[in-house]
Parts: sequence; structure tokens; C-alpha cells
Amino acid sequence: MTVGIPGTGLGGLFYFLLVAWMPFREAYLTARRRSSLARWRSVGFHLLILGGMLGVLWGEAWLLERALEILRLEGDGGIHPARQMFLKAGQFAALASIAVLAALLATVAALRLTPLARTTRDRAR
Amino acid sequence: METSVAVASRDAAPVRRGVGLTVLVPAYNEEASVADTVRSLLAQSVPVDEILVIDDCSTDRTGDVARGLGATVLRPHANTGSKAGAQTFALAHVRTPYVMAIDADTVLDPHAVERILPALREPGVAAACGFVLPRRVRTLWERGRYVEYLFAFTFYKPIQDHYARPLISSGCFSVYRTEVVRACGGWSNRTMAEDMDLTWTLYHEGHGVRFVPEAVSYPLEPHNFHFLSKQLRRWSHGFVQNVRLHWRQILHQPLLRSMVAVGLWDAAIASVAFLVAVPLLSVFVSPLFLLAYLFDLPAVLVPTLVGAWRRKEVGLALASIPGFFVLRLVNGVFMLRALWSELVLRRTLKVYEKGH
Repeated sequence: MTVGIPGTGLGGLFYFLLVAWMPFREAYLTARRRSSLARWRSVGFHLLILGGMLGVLWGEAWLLERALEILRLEGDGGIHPARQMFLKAGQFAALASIAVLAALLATVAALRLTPLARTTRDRAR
Repeated sequence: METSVAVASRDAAPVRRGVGLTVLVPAYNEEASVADTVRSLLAQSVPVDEILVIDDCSTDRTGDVARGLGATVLRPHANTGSKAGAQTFALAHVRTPYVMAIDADTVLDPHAVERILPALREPGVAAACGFVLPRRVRTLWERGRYVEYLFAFTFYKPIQDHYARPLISSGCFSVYRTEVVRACGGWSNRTMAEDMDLTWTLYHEGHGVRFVPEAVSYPLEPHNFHFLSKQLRRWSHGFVQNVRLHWRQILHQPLLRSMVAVGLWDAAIASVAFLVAVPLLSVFVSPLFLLAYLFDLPAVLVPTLVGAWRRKEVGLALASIPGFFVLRLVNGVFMLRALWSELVLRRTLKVYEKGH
């Protein structure tokens, strides 16, 4: 099963970041002789996929902009309010996703330090 | 656990000398599909020691069909109530160091066992799972699932494996160290997703799990909405139940807690955004907001087409893309219902309903 809604939302952004972090982690493991050529191949493969995904997303945004221009969604005073709101919503969603992801990861990391996170095994000690 | 249930009958086939692997095939009224499963196990490039089909008090000829193909058939006195129950029931009969769980509607690539076993020989690894793809890709729902699996098993799962934390060792095809599964008490039926439960339990106990993309399995996926809804209900409730059950331990596992937190967020917030916010914005602000449903299409396409290209199925993947976008909306509905029922109403799903 796939948890959540695949391909979108915070999950997508989270996995993008995991891929971006791969070469740094692998360099660290290589320095400690815990990596291998196969693992580096996997890093390269994922970086290529990530590059492809970011590339097509950028291309999509560019095309959308051009399409909105061609549709001439313009009002009396310049840019059409709907188009303006749509573009702003896109920017807001991107920034909000990054902020929410950071806050979410920080929250669950902090939760482990609270008494709430004590497991049965901890209590038995 | 159902280990106290006595075996009503055990029709044993001669044990072969294999690679130290016993295969468990839980089956309830699977006469139409169990033959393909057993045949695919017999056709493996390396021999398995024993195939145990747990005929969970079927009312059809499941046991006869499996027996006729040379499998050992176990039949408990009473239905064990779930896949987990049937597998745990049979665990007492396993005499090999490795045990595989496979659904009775799943067939394996002929090299699947040969490819997956080396992962289990790595130190610390207690379970390994393979690539999953629907055997039939005809209806809208099967097509949606095909793209979902291609995307997830080409992108998400290998990343999880690279960081040594596959989120789930899939129940339809996974191999385990027998002694470790026994130490965990087998597969528990305390949740509707016994595979997720066992995977997370293995992590808590300090064991590793691997994903082996070269080992491919082909289950039958729900072909219509009736069966799909049963499966999604089980999976969505199973996820929430596992979060409720394991959340304290998960907090101590850095990557696992992040994956679960993000998954839970997407299950709740992204579902609300897709099902409520986007329609409202498109009605009251601008129809342009409907583009949000397809905004990530290119991002979904890249790993999906890479996975399809490796299998020479690019045309099939492209033709199946619309199904994916329909399926994920339906996924969202089921996830929200499960969250509401399990966390707000505290109404836990307890009855295991098969997908078909």
C-alpha cells in the first residue's frame, strides 16, 4: 500500500529532500568504507530521476505561465485578478509546503524528548 | 494469534531439499487463483523446501487444488479470521531458516526467490520484500493501481531502502528469518495491516528490512469498486491502527517517524485539500484551481515511465495514467474515513474482509 496520497503533498517534497541528501550521506559512508559502487549507482539513478522531476515541473510552470498569457487573462488594470490569485496561490503553496514540512519534522523530533514518548520498555527500566 | 487452533488435517507432500525456505500461502476460497500461485512457486529457478497452503476452512475446492499440485495443505478446525491468523497458525509447521508469505492470488517471477534470498543473508536483516505489480491491467482500478505501484516501487521504495527503512515489507510477497518472526509472535491480527505491524515491530527490535526490486510479484488487484473498497478500507484503517499502536516506538526511529508523520499529514491534509479545498476554490474563486488535480502529473510521470520503460510497458503506463488520478482521489476518501472512524469516533475496524 502507499501511505497518504502518492505523488503530491508533503510526501513528494520529503522524498525530494531525501534524494538530495543521498550524495552527502554516501560520501560520509564512503569515507568510513561502508559504501559501494552499487550504492553510488543507486544515488546517481535517483538524482537523475529527481532532476527529471524538477525539470518537468519547471517546464510545466513555464508552459502554464505562457498559456495564461496567451489566454489573455487580463483585466482593466493589468493582470486578471483570478490569474494573479492563482499564481500567488502557487507560490504560497510551495513556500508553505517547505515551512510545514520543517515544522512537522521538528515537532515529531521534539516529541520524542517528551514523557509522552516513553515506551513500555523505557518505563520498565 | 491462532496458534492454539489445532490442525484438523495436514496432507503433507514430501519435503524437498531446497534453499531453506518454506512458503506460506494463506487461502480462503481461492480455488480460482491458488493453482497459479503454487505453479509459480514450483517453477522457481531455485527449489523451495515446502509449500504450505493454509486452507482456512474454505467452502470451495481450494485445498484439493493445492494438494493436487503437490503442496502441503493445512486446514485448521475453525477459520482463523484473517491472513495474519492463518500465517501464524502455519508458522509452527515451518522447519526451515527462512519463511515466505505470499497471497493465494499472487504469482512470482521465476527468479523472484533466487533474487530475494541473498538480501536475507546480510547481517541484521530479518525481512525482505520485492517489487509488486498487478497481474491484470484492464479496468480503471487496476490501471490506477498499476501506475501507483510503478511510481511507488520505482521512486519511494528504493529511496526508503537506500536509507535502510522500507516502510512496509509487503504482505503479498515477503521473506523472513523464521526464528525472528517466531520471536515476534508471528503475524498479529491486532491491526488490519499485519505486514506493516510486523515491519515496524522488526525495526523496534533492532532488525533490518530490505527491498529487492529485481524480485517481482504479480498479485491480482481489485478489478471493480466493490472489491477495491474492501481493500482500501482495510489498508487505510490498518495504517491508522498501526500509527496508534506503534507511535511511541516510532518516535525513537528518526527516518521512520518522519516518513510516518509525512504520510499521516498527506493522508489527512492533502485529502482534505483535494476533496474540499480545491473544489471550493475552483467554484468560488477560479476554475483554474482545478489544475491542482493534475499539477504533479509530470512529476508522477517521470519515475512511472522510467519503471515502465525498464519493463517495456511505456504504452500501457501512459494509457493507465488517468486511472491513477481517479484512484488517488478515492484513496483520499477512504483515508479520511479511516482517520475519522479510528481517531475521532474510536470505532476500530476489526473484521477482516478480503478484497475479492
